[in-house]
Amino acid sequence: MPATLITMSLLVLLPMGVMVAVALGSVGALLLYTKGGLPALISGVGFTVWNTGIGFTLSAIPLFVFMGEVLTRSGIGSLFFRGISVLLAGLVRGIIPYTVIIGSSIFSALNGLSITNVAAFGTLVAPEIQKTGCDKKLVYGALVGAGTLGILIPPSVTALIYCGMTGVSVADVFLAGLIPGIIMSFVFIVYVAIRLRLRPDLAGNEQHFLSDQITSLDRLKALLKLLPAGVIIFFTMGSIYFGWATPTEAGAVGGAASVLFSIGYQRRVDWRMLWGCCLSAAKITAMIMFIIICAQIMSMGLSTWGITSDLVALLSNLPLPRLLVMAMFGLMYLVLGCFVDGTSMMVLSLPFVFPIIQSLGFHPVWFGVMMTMFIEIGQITPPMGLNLFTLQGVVPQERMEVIWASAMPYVALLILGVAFFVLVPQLVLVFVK
Amino acid sequence: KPVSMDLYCYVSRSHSFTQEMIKFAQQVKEQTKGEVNIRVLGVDEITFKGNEFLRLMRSGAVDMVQMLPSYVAGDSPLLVGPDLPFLNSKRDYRVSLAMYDALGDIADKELAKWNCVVLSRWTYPEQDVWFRDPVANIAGWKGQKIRTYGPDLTAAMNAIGAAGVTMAAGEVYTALQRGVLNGAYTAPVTLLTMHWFEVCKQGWRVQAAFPVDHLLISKKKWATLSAAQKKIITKLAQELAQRCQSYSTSKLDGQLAQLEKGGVNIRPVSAEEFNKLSQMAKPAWYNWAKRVPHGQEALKRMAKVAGRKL
Amino acid sequence: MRGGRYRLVEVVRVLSVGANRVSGVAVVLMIILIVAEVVLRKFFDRSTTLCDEYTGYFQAAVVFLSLAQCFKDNLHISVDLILRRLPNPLRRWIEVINHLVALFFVAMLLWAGGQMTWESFLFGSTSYGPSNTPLFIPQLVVVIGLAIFAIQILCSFLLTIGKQSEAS
Ligand code: NA
Ligand code: NA
Repeated sequence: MPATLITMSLLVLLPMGVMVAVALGSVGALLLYTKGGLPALISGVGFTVWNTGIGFTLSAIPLFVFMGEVLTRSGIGSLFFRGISVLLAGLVRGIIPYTVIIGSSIFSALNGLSITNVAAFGTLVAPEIQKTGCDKKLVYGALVGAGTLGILIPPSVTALIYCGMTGVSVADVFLAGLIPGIIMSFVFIVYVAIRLRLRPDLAGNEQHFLSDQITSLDRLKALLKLLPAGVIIFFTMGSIYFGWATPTEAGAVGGAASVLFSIGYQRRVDWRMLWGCCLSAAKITAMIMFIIICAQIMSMGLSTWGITSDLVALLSNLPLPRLLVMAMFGLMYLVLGCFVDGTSMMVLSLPFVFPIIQSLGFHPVWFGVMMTMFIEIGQITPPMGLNLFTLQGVVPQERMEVIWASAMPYVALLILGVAFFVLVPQLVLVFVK
Repeated sequence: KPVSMDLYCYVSRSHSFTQEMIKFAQQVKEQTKGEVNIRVLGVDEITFKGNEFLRLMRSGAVDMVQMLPSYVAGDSPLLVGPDLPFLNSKRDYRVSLAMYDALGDIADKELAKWNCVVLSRWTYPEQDVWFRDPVANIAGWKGQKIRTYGPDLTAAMNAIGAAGVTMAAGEVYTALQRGVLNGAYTAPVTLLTMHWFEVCKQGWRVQAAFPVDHLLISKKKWATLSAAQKKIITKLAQELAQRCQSYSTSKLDGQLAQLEKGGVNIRPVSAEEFNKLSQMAKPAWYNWAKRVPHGQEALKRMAKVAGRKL
Repeated sequence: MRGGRYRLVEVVRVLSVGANRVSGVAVVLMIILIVAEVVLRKFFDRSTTLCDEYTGYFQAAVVFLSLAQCFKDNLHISVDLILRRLPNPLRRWIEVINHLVALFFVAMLLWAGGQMTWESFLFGSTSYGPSNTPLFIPQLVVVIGLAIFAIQILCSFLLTIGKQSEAS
């Protein structure tokens, strides 16, 4: 009973605006203190902080974040954007939203976060909207919606955290995200196509893309612009699957490859830019890891009181069909995702949810992908949506409500996607033994 | 009034050793008429790892632990002595236990430093080397990337000509599958439970060591128990050790057969080959002896029991 | 009084920025170490044997030495939807409480980390891996990072109650 009360105090601390990490950690610390007294608290917390801090799987986080920063800041991201738009020019109407979706999907194979996608493409697209008069909401939606693929298509920081907390194989969860990622990317494209079929005027006037006659040579050159992306993807993901490196190590290989390419592309060593990427990667990592470390303290507090095992016993003995339990989790994450960021949501819930998922016989790799998709949804549901905030940062003059509204169709599509993969889990597990 | 103690295991609750310890705790409770209550917790129920157990014992955060020397090598490198690879030339688990007895006062003093008293000991199954792609002879070990743990084992592998690689257990399967690693040093049962046998084609039954597992109790707590309670606990701990030992020894043949069925070709290792490997691994022992307090004396005593010339 | 407060702010700023820079260097070292390990293993059938261990230590440095700067840049995530909509005096009071909770918690982490590091030093504990690194060295980095973080929160706390008393 006291333990339940302490755990419930999260419901006070979080809305008060206490840092999520501090709220989780304080609850954990209180649970440990009330159960075992000061020695248990101090030695427990010390070792938890240390063990989580040096965890090898999680050490890929700064590496993949660094890689995304380098590719964005060096302008290789914008290289893709121009390449893809030239390839599409004259072939379809609605070049901007299509370019954003295809570009985000490819860029997702190069970085582990969703906000990197939004930031990279948002800055490029904002001026184009002005020039063409293309429908803002259509483009904003594509930016935030396809941006979420950053954590579904491997590499994925979300998958790293999931695996770090559950011990599931990183390579498996990476690989499992690939097909859902491609399917969702395709679904987004189809959605845009339907919108444009119904309302052709939404595409605006794309004359300026066509003004200079685009020759086959131009298209060939555009294709060449996509080459660096291909090579870096090859080095990063290839290093895992050809057996040169573990998934964690692949982050460093990708980071090094990105640095080399940025030097080649800019034709000089931009020390200032590279150093900025290091500092920024360090800060983003600190922010993510602080939450994870504190969540581990909480989950330790929960398990010393036996709260986790009680809850698992309770829920897995309920005479409910497993799909209904899954649906309940989905609903919980949908609501939670409106108010809590993805990393916090995952680390907050996994200590309870993962044992239940396992006891119900769901595949842990498959659930890793579902968890990722719940987080994707949370990234674009208002009021708390990281992708929404990021886009707002890129287009500060825009009203928040417009961005919120633009994201709604993608929320719906992602929910449909989750439902689909719950019913057809084989599609997620194609490459997994 | 009744005494309550926590016993931490470094393996999960479902592990057979943990299950045996739960049984042990029940027996203690019954035979002491409820005077001594032991709560057994698997590693999945605590947020400590096996590496921290000695320090937890010293600080009094826990009263009993299951302790594997290679896990606590960072705190107490002396205790891994009997686990040094290729030192046990009789290739018999009883010799590994005898090496501990030979350490005698040296080990007792070391454990007392951590506020620990040994209740009983048993061994893990033999440690063998498993290769992704078959290796014909000892010369073929050269350059093979073999997953190891701890400083001395890694040094021994390097001395033999292979490359000792340390890697988190969760990454080993994929690493073997993709060829990041060429092999792993572990017991047959680990190969089965971790599914590594799916990506290993050959096993060399080197029987390089039989890691010794310990049941420890806090020295301070032990002093507070009555003579009768001590007697009961000691007796039950010995029985526990016998049950755990029989898990390690009696199931081995079945595990090896299961591995063969799973596609692993198990290659016997002749005494000659063992001696050659042992000769090559020697520098790692000397290194250990130099690094560890009382190491020279400890190595001498162990070698005598193992019938190994230094 | 005023001057003293600004000097404190300046000292804390320098500490946080400096620690963040060291943590940036740790990112670079991590990449170099892992690439070296991959190349050695792939082309020379050798291992650095300390890669996973030191990657962990660098990771700890990256995380703990950047905590303070993250706090200063307001990057640590909080759910402030309600807080932002509260009237000013009430909001300030809640912010004061938030600071106290954070300060208390980080001080506890500092204590726990400090005790662990001290024991590692006292018992001469070395790493579990092959490098035999004395554990107190990388653990000390954690303690230093937490200490700077605590000071940064304390500084922000003092500024908040300063504002509070000026407002009332
Ligand atoms: Na990605
Ligand atoms: Na949201």
